[in-house]
Formats: sequence, C-alpha cells, structure tokens
Amino acid sequence: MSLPVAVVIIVSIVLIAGALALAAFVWAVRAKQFSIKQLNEGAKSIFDDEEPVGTPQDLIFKKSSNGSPNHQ
Amino acid sequence: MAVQTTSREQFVSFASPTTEEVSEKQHRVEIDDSVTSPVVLYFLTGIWWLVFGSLAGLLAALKFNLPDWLGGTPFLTFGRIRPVHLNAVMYGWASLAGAGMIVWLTSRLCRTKIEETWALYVSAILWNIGVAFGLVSLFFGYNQGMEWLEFPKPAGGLIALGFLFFAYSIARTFRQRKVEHLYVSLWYILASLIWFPLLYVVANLGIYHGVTEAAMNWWFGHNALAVWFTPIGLAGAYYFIPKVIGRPIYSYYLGLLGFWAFALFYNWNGIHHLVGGPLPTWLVTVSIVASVMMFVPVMAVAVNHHLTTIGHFKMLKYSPTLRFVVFGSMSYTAVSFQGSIESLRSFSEVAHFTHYTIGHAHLGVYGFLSMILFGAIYYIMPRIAKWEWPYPKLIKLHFWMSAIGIALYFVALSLGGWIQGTMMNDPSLPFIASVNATKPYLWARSVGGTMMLIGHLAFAYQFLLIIYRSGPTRYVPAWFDLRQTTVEEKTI
Amino acid sequence: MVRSTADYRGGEDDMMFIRSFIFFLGVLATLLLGWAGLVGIPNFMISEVQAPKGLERYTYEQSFGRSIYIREGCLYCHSQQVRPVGFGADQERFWGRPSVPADYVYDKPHLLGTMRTGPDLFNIGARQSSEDWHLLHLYNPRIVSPGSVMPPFPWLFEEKISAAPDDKVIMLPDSIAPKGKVVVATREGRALTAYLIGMNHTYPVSQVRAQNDTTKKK
Repeated sequence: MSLPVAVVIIVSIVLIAGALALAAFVWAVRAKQFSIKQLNEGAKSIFDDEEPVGTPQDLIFKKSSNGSPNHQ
Repeated sequence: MAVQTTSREQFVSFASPTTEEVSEKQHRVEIDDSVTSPVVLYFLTGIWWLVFGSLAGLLAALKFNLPDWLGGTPFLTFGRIRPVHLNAVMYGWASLAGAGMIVWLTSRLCRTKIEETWALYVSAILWNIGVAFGLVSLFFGYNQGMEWLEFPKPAGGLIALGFLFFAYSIARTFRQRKVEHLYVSLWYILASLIWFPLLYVVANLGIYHGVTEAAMNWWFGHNALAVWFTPIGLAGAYYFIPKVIGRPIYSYYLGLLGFWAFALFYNWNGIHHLVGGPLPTWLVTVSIVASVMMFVPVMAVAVNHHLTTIGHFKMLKYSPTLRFVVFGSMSYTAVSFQGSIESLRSFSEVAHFTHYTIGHAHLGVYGFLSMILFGAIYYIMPRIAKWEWPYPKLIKLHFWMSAIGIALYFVALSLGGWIQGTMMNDPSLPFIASVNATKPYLWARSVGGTMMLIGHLAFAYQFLLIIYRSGPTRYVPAWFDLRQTTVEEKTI
Repeated sequence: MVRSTADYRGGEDDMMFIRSFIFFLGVLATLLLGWAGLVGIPNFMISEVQAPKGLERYTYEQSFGRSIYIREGCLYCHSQQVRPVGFGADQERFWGRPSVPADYVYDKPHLLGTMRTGPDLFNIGARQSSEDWHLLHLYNPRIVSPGSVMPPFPWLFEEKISAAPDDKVIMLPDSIAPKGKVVVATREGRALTAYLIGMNHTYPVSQVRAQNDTTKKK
C-alpha cells in the first residue's frame, strides 16, 4: 500500500468517524440529554440525605471535643 | 452547614418485612457489606504486590550505582529485576487495588449490592496466580521481549481471564443499578471494561513482526495507561474530591467533554515512544499531534478537580484521602502537560533514551495513580471493615514518605536525565561521560525510592491492623451507631 | 419504586438502551480506530518491505544468542535503532547510517529499545568485532569499560581445571582471575557474542528513506 492510498484511507476514516460523532452529539442535544438541570443533578448524584452537599467526609485528622474523629 | 435535599426519585426504598422504609444510610451499609470480602481480597493482594514490587524496584535502582552487588546471581540481575518490578507494580498492585476500588465505587454509584460475588473471587485468584506465575517466569528469564508485554502467554491468559470474570460481575451489578443517572466515574470505569480486554488480547495475538510489532508494542504500552490505569485514577479523583469536600464537581459539562476528548485523543499517542525511530514520519507525527491534543481533556479534568478543591485547602489538613487524591490529581495535570511537551521532536531529541522518561513514567503511575489508590483505600476500608484506622500518625508517615519520595525521585531523574541526554548528543564527549554524570542523580533516586518503600511498609502494616481490627480502641465513631442499633449487634 | 433494567418501562428504557449502545459503540470505535491508524495501516504499508540485499537471516547460533539477549534483559539499557542525520548525535558517534524498517524484517520480537544507559547496539558488530573483547565485557564490563554500570554475567562462563581443545578461554586480569583454574565461555556466552558481532547493518539501503532524513534522496 503506498502512502497516498494510506492517506486517503485514513482521512476517509477520520471524516466518517467525525461525522458519526457529530451526529451523535446533535442527536444527544436534540434528545435533551444536555439540560443544565440534568447536568447539575449528575454532579450532585453522589450526595444524598445522609451525606448531603456541604458535608465534608473523612476528616480523620480532625479531633472534635471528645477526642473522636469527625466523621459526619 | 447547608443541607440540600436531593430528589428522592434517585433513591430506592425497599419494603422490608416490617414495611418500614429503610433509610439511605442502612441501604448504604448493606451495599458496603456486600462488597467487603472481595474488595479486601483485591486490596490485600494488591498491597502485597506493592511491597514486593517496591523491593524489586529498590533493588533495580541500587544496581545502577552498585552494579557488582549480588552480581553472581542470575535471578537478581538488573535485566530480570527491572521487568519484575514493572509487572508487579502495574499488573499486581495498580490493577488489583484499582479493581477493588472499582468494585466499591460501582456498587456505591449504582446504589446496589455487588452481583455475582463468586466471579470476583475467581477473578482475584486467577489474576494473582497469573501475576505470580509471570513474575517467577521473569526471574528465570522467560520474557516475551517487549516492554509491558513480558509475561509469557499462559500468565497473560490467566490475567485476561481473571479480568473477564471481574468485568462480568461489574456488568451484572451495573444492570441492577437503582440510579437514573450515571456519575462520571462510572463512564471511565465502564469504558475501561470494554477497552482493556480487547487491548490485551489484540496485543498478544502474535501476528506482528518487525517495526510494525514495535508500533503495536507502544500502541499497547501507552494504551494500557490510556484505557485501564488512567481511567482508574480519574474515576477515583472524580468521586473522592467532591465527596470528601462535600461540594459537587465544578463543571459536569466539562467532565462530559473531557471524557470523549480523552477517549478520542489518548488512543493515538502510542508512537510518541518511537520518535526518531525507524518508522514512517507521518505515523510518528500523528502520535505527537495526539499527545499535544491531550491538553484538551487534561485541562477539562484539571479545571474540574482543581476548581472544586479551591477554597477548601484547609480540609487537606484533616482528611488523609483528600491529601492523597489532591496530590494525585495535581500530579495528573503536571505529568500530562509534561508528556505533551516531551513528545515534541525537539524535546524528545534530548530526553528520549534517558532517565528523564523514567521520571515521567513514575510521576504518572506513582504520583498520579498510586497516590489516588492510597487515598481511595484510606476512605473505603473503614467503611467496609467497620473499624477505624488505628494509628493516624502512620497515615501521615505514609503520606509524607510517598510525597517527598516521589518528588525527590522525579526531580532527580528529570535533572539527571536531561543532563544525560544533553551529553549523549554532544559528540565531543565520550559516551561514558553521559553515564558518569547520572550517578549522583541515581543515588538520589534510590533515596526517594527508599522513602516510598518505608511509606508502603507503614501502609501495609496498618492495613493488616485494620482488617484484623487491631490497635487501640480509642473511640467508636458516630456513624457506626446505625449498624449497632438497627442491625444485629456485632462485637467490635 | 425500584428502578433496575429488570423493570421495563417503555420509552425511557428504550432511550436508556440507545444511550448505552451509543456509548458502547463510541468507546469501541475510539480503540479500534486508534489501532487501525497506529498499527493496522502501517502494517499494510510496511509488510511489502523486502529484506535488503545486505541483510542475512540470523544463523542458528545468532538466534540462540538473541534469546539470551532477551533473557538477560539487555533491551532495558540498550537500543537498536540509529537516529537520522541532524537528530541526536548518532551519526557523529559513528553508530551507523539511520536505520529503516527494512532492517528489521527478520526481527521477532523487535528489540528497538527505549533506554541508552549503554550505547546503541545496532551496528556494534561493525564497531567492535573482537570475540575476546565481548567475552571479557560480558564477564565483567568494568574490565574493559571503566565506569560502566552494566551488570556482570559470570554465569555465561564456567571455571575449569583445564580447557578442552575447542573451549574458548578468556584471559582475565590477575586481580580477578581464579587461581589454578581457567575461565571458559559457555555455549550461551559464545552465542550471545556471536549475535552481537553479527549486528552489522552498515550495508546500503536505497528504497526507504529514514524518518527526518534531510539528506538528498538517492
């Protein structure tokens, strides 16, 4: 396989893959995958009622008044 | 302390026999219980290989300055110990500890018990046998002759098979997920489960020869980082940083962009290991371009991790996990920027073939990946062993030994390697001059490596203490109360 | 409400399936495209390369020696690729002409290497063709190369009371020579030396230009 042939093949693959990726992106936007609300929920999904946003975890080196570690 | 209630639709409520709603906390405790044994098995065996691999690494390092030490023993010659070190810490420590972290993280993020636990046991056994068999083979000189692919095929086969059992359990667990949304860490985890088996099998097909095999070798070598090791680290950092701090990740949208840019560009980096080599110019250029393009996903990750941490640096004082993970995420940014620059031809002309690249490699697999794995283990173990780390001071020792150790290691080899490369490229100097110049830097590297080993011994010792629930019982932490009151009381 | 994929809920689960499918395909595609670009297509291009006229296949002894080279991990300190003109000082150090893909057609596994703790070996046979030198160097590098950090390989040799007629004896310095015995190279030591001395790629090549080659095309 000569270099020009290889270049043509690679460029074609890249263009087709790029077009498919773009199509997937457009589809995702259209299908409302990207609302800000959803993205914010995604970020907050690791929190819950017991470990809510604003509550640090794992403060092993912090001593509270009775000497126990501050797991909240 | 602002408490924000999140949408209840994201959680499940079971109907227990008494039709009481089980709280999220109890649910989480049950999930943690389901993963305890396999995760401890992965961590325990991983830490074993960490200690073993660190000893091998130190031995290899010392042989640079003391080449005749133990020089009569074929099993301990540098050329065999060096691949023993690499394979033990990568396919042993990093992979097994990473697998343990993935099991815990998957069950937490899917909010469901781990499924097919038997498959995890089989996986751990096969994997460890594979690694052990592979390492013994290397001691005896059975080496496939390619970096990162040294293990003889039977050992590699066991590892691949072990991985499939692991992936099966994770996939089944994923199917039972009780969440609407998949957190970003899960994207990296799931992608790695699809990528890594394929990568490993395609690389070991044996259908390559000549320089194409070299291209395949480094496509594999760099992709092992891209599709297995880095996703482990990023999955961990994306979870532990916001979790410990208590704030959501800075920009989830950037996380999405970062993931796909990562998947796209990282796969094309491999040939930057062969700059100046006997390969078509266009092939090398493609990899250099992809390496520079890595700025995009790395910036996305950097913004997310660092801007989430900003304003909360005080917590580094209190949380061991955060110390390790933030160190790791900063190392990721640094090593990635360094790598992009390093791939440029003008830079590579000096740094290639020198200790500089070894320093870079260790900043990545130790400064980034291993530090994050340490942080993950320090977070996870109390929650599944139902026991606190007995000696916080040992954690601090571990952290500082590792941090200063890798810093010394990296600076020593970067400086020494650059000098080595500069002298190598100066034809007025004999080649041996480049070797002699590196000797003091190699001593410094051994000092750094010794510090890291000390940290690992402290870590391993305390790990044994926590799984045997030893050490002074100083306190019972508040959040253990639930376990004692709502479930059968167990003696701690 | 329990939400696992075990409970089919119509349109939303179809969406979930589509999203999963796209994710799966995208992830797979990134890996396979990377392989195709970095390995697959170059393989097609390079597989047509013929061995140059000056390149012989490895002899049996050289092949055996090559396996010793791999066994002892020589590739972790030595490279086997000569960089082009104007890139590094390989040419100025007379390490040979820039290496090309055709030079490696008989190499399996490749031993290109990534470290130069020691010098490049692609043309070591042209630079140093003395069997005695190589054997002494392998026994203990510091005999012939002061300051070297290369490991010694004494197990490639054996001590005997007296040498047999076809034994290869090496003459060690008095300070390390064993008293009353002769040191003789084993078959492995001689094979490894044969491999190293056979590493001579100075024959000319005209078909393929080396990467970054700024000299005029022949």
